[in-house]
Amino acid sequence: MANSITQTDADLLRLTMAGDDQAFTALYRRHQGQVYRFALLMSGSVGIAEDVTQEVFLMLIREAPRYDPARGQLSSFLYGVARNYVLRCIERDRSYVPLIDESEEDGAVPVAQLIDRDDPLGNLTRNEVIRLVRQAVVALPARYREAVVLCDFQELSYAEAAKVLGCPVGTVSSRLHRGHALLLEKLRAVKKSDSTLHEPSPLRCFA
Amino acid sequence: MNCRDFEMIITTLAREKVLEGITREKSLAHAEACARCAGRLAEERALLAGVQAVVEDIAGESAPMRVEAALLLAFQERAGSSSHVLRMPQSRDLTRWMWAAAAAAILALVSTVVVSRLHGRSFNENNAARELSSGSPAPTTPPERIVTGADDNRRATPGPRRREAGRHAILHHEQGGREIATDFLPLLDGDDLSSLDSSQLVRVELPGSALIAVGLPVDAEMANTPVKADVLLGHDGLARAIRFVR
Repeated sequence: MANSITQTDADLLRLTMAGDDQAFTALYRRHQGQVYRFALLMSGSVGIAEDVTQEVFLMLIREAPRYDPARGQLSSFLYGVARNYVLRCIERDRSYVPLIDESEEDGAVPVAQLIDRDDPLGNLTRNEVIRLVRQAVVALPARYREAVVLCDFQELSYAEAAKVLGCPVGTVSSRLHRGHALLLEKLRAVKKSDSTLHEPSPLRCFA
Repeated sequence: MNCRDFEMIITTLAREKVLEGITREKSLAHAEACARCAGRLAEERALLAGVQAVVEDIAGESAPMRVEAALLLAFQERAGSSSHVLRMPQSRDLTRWMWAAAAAAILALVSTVVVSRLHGRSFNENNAARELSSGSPAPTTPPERIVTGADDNRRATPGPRRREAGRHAILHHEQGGREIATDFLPLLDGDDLSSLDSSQLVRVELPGSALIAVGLPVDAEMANTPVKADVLLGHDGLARAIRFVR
């Protein structure tokens, strides 16, 4: 096999379908990180992320001809497959994800509630920011979570995310906007409870 | 632009994604004039900074190596079964043979590692005995037998004659030409091949490194080259002996 770095996904996939295990390995190493991190952010579970990564590439081994290059990049196809597996895993094992507050699903947060607030991540250490953001993302309803993960964390364009999610670009944009609003709400709530938790309580003197 | 319009594009604006030049200018001008929208923009940017921190934090995370190893094994099994690596008698159930051969190959590899340690000495002793009896230097290549037909197949086959018919059928089916085979090398410690009541012979392909595992000399180039081998399965399905074929 020629240098796998310079080969396109289409070339590697063709060789993979012909039984070239080096091509398969190159393809796997090129895409497994994205798939794994997508599943990790969507589920908040390392175990699910591993399972999903394995299932996605097993599917590629068994059903590579299902991928149609005319319909988009291989990475988009893999994200789409990963998304289905993640949602299935989450559905199967809801203990990894807090129950979705249905009231958040459809009700729009008034703009007034989003403004004139404190910086939701101000005065936090970097590790705290990372922990809180990850928790907040996993707690989002799935439809907003996937838009946020794909566009913000995986840095896909709206058009690419729309292909993965099978919806119009405008829907991705509005879900992302709504997802951000929910994230800010959750982060404010967590920060508020944290600050309440850390407020010095009056000590009683028994002397 | 009013606050409502600003809110519509704030996500895109904060993400520094492409906005029409004029829309971007109007948005930023509105944010300068409107404290509430300026606060919203700062908030969005703070959120995206948090997102960026997570992206950087997990940038190095990936699936563990065991996932790659499991997938590669699955790929090789699938590729092997679809490219007819295993050549079976047509009268047999192909599926059953493929499973048996795959199991035999795995067993053979595992067993040979053990055998190479336990039998390393006896193998060398055998070579030494041959050397003594022939009066010639020790061979640098494995002892070879030429297998061309029924007679040669009989010579290559250890144990009682009652197994020969089956083996002959396989070899006869597979090739009309010449093949060179090593002696059968037992895979189980202390196993007496002649005591087998029944057996099956399965042709597999193994990496050249498998030869090393049974103590046969292999150069570096050959270590990655596939080599043909016949695995002798006992009636219990366990791989009992292996011979390498060229």
